Amino acid sequence: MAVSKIGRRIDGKLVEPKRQLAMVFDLNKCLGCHTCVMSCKTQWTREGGMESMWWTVVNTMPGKGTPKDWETSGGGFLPDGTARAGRLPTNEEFGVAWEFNYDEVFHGGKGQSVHLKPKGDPKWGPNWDEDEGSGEYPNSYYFYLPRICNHCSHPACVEACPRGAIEKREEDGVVLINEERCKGYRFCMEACPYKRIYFNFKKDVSQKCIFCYPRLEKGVAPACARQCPGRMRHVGYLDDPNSSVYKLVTKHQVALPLHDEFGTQPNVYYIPPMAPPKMDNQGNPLTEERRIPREYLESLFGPRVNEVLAKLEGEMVKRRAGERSEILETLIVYKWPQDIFPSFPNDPSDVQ
Amino acid sequence: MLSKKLNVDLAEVSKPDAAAWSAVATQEVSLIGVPLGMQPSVYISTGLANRKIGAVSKVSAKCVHNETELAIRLEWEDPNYNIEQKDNTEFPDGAAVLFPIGDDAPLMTMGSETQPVNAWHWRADRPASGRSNFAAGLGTTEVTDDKQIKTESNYANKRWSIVLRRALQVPGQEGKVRQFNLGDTVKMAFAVWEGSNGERGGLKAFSPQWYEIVLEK
Ligand code: HEM
Ligand code: SF4
Ligand code: SF4
Repeated sequence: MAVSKIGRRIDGKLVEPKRQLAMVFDLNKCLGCHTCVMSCKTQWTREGGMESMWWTVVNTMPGKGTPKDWETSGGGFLPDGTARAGRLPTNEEFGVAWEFNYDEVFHGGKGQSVHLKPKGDPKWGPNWDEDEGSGEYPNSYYFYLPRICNHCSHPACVEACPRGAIEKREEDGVVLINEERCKGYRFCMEACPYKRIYFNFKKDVSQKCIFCYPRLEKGVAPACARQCPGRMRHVGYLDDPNSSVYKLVTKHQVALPLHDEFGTQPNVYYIPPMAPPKMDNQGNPLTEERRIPREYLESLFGPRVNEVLAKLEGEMVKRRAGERSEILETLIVYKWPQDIFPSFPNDPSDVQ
Repeated sequence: MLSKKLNVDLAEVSKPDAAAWSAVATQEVSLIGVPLGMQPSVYISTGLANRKIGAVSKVSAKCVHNETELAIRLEWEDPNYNIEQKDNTEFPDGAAVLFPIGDDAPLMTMGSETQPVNAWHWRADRPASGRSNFAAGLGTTEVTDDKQIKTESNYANKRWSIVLRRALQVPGQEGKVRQFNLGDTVKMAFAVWEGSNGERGGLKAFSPQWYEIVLEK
């Protein structure tokens, strides 16, 4: 499956990083708390020009996402390897940083009569459709989908930049935009099918998730992963048999890429969401049918999602019968941090 | 094409609507869309293969000097006025002239390693300072300076007119910029970016041939 696809051909030569870092997001454990989002924001995107940037987002699914309708914005590759044209999302679709009426509420003497609200009349924001989901009572449903740049093995962004300003690092496959070379053309933004690239108007350069590479180099896990109270973000090298990432992606093959058909070979994998059975109005389970429609999950994670969900359910049966399950033990993360990002266990306050 | 010698302070022709320009002969230049298939980007060469690039099809050029500075005036019709990039989807209008740094250079590839080029680049959101770019092949443009080229622009009656002005010689930048001597015959090419058509970088209209300018002695 996906793991063996690493590397891409440039001028007929297979170019691949020596190792590839990956993340596995266990969607059954995401709380939708956005701690990951805020940890990234405070670490990397506080400067002027970055107000509207959210290098990691947590979208409610089904939903339009961030930026709005990114799933149908084009980009990536067609099955024949040629690039698929994409669309640049507007600032509004990404969600602009709202200004609030702080002055009026806090200093204008209207604290009792006026409530805090964004100025203007926003019609969209980075999480506008949070917790809306889909379906009808009593079988409405939604789940959270955290997203970052996937540090793809066949990165559409790298192949889009005519200046070669985006590099895939040899040592760990992390994809980085070189801001010294970037001239702000935004071909990468257009070409990335996950729409995980932002434009910095102040600096006239494109910017995105950097996999917290300065932390990696000190043995510290990326901020979003370390701060996640759900402990759902596994980080590791795909070739490290001790890593949970290896166990989930390669050994047990229960972690799936999102929209694999986009052709970029993402290195973020997802444990698909399980769901309770459908119920009647009294709350009695109706059938074996789950509340999240399978067709919907297939549209995100591909046809293997059925096999993976069946496997996860089987593992739960095993556990209930008192048997061991390496898959569930890995997902539970008994020992933190060594069980979730073994190569990056350091506490950031202990390193320089 | 003659770069006429004027005995004036070139500040007098720095405005595109300065009276002195009316006495200077015009070179009409035809532009075509830049070929996408050869660009160093799989996205541009295959993904954008069907995009219509090169919205501006002609530009009028004039050139003068006063023995210390060279001034180039470009004028073209543009019904879409784009002077900002405030949204991801917005691109400003732009124009540039290209010179071989030595005697000659391949135009179609913006120079080569052995025959680099110098582009003077004006962009509508940076109206006052042109950028001097060094390039040695597609994808290699590098801004070496953003002060030596003075620019002024004017938009009226749905037409842009701009003036780019620089000292004939820039000491210390040998090999990085085109240097000019009186009496020289210099090759020059042109490019115009139409912001409303998403034109930026390699997406632009260009003159597929060099024009020779002679710096009047
Ligand atoms: C003949 C007149 C031309 C001029 C004056 C010119 C000028 C320029 C300038 C100034 C830039 C940098 C833009 C910026 O910084 O925003 C640029 C970029 C670019 N040009 Fe040209 N160009 C010309 C012809 C061509 C041709 C024929 C091609 C052929 C494909 C081409 C391909 C590119 C590419 C791919 C880039 C983007 C990569 C980079 O920044 O180096 N250009 N050009
Ligand atoms: S997710 Fe987008 S920006 Fe990140 S590596 Fe893949 S193509 Fe590039
Ligand atoms: S911090 Fe963890 S649990 Fe909270 S939203 Fe992010 S991924 Fe989900």
